[in-house]
Amino acid sequence: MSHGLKNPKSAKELLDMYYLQLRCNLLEAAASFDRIQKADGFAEEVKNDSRYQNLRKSLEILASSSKTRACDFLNLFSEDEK
Amino acid sequence: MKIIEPHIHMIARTTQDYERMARMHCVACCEPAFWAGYDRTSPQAFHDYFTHITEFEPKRAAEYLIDHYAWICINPKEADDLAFSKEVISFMPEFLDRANVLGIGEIGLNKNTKNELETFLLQVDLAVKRDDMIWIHTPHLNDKKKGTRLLLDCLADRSDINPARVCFDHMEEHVIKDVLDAGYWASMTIYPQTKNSPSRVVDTIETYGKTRIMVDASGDWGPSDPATLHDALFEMRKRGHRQEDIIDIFYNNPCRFLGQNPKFRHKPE
Repeated sequence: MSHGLKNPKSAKELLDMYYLQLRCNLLEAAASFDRIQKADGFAEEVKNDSRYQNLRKSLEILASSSKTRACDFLNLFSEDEK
Repeated sequence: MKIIEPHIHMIARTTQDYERMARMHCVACCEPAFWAGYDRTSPQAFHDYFTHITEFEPKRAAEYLIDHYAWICINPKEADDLAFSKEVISFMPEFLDRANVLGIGEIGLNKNTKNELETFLLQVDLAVKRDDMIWIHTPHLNDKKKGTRLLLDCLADRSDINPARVCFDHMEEHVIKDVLDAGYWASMTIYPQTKNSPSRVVDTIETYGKTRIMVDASGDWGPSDPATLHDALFEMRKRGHRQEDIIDIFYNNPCRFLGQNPKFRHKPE
């Protein structure tokens, strides 16, 4: 296994680069959950839908301090992980 | 700088895309055989398709100074009917011998069924018999991890497979390490929704390095765009990566992998 290519940017520089995009992506997720919750028929059928449940669980991954959040996210949505 | 598109289905793209790719300095593209968006009604339909990607597309690409290469196979999504698959496989050698064909692909799994796996292994056997290279499709979304493991497991015990001549495509963060650790090449597909984004592709390169890694746009009839390859290239530039590393990922590595077939004429710089 070869070594990775070190990201030349500092954490502060990366925050500057990605802040608006990240804010936009998270806001879009927040609004999407609002949209589903406010719609007619938001009940057990939707709450128990495995897709909805995985989306909710993925928020815990985002809020964690793991350094492999993307990998953890994909594992959550993998069939053989259930 | 020149770039190579390792995976794109030009049969599903407009001529304007060839023009855009040429303007973005794409000098070669590779077209694996794939699902047309519907199941073909006869093996003969595959014969017609293989004829199209080995005769018509190279001519269309040449108008824009792009070398067009192809991979031939019965794709995983139509591989569940074994009798049908065997009939298609019976005439594949005629096309594998053609001037622009690099090997067998994109073979693999779709829903991870027993018959899909059997068709995959029949085509692996053909590749071994002919000493052809292999391009592997890994399943989409929820099925990817299980399917990638199945494919790795069934190739692991075979001493007649040289991993350096096999590429696993559509790699993401949760599967790429196992593929690289086993000695295979790994390509990452950029799609707007269902695979990688340009930034995640660069994240993965930063994690695993540039050895045996490629990036592709895998443009087809769904949401996809040949320009996403260039978006990833620009993402590397924005992060301040060295030009020599960018050239390695987007030009030299495709030359190194694809150039194992002498029909591929481009060389690393």
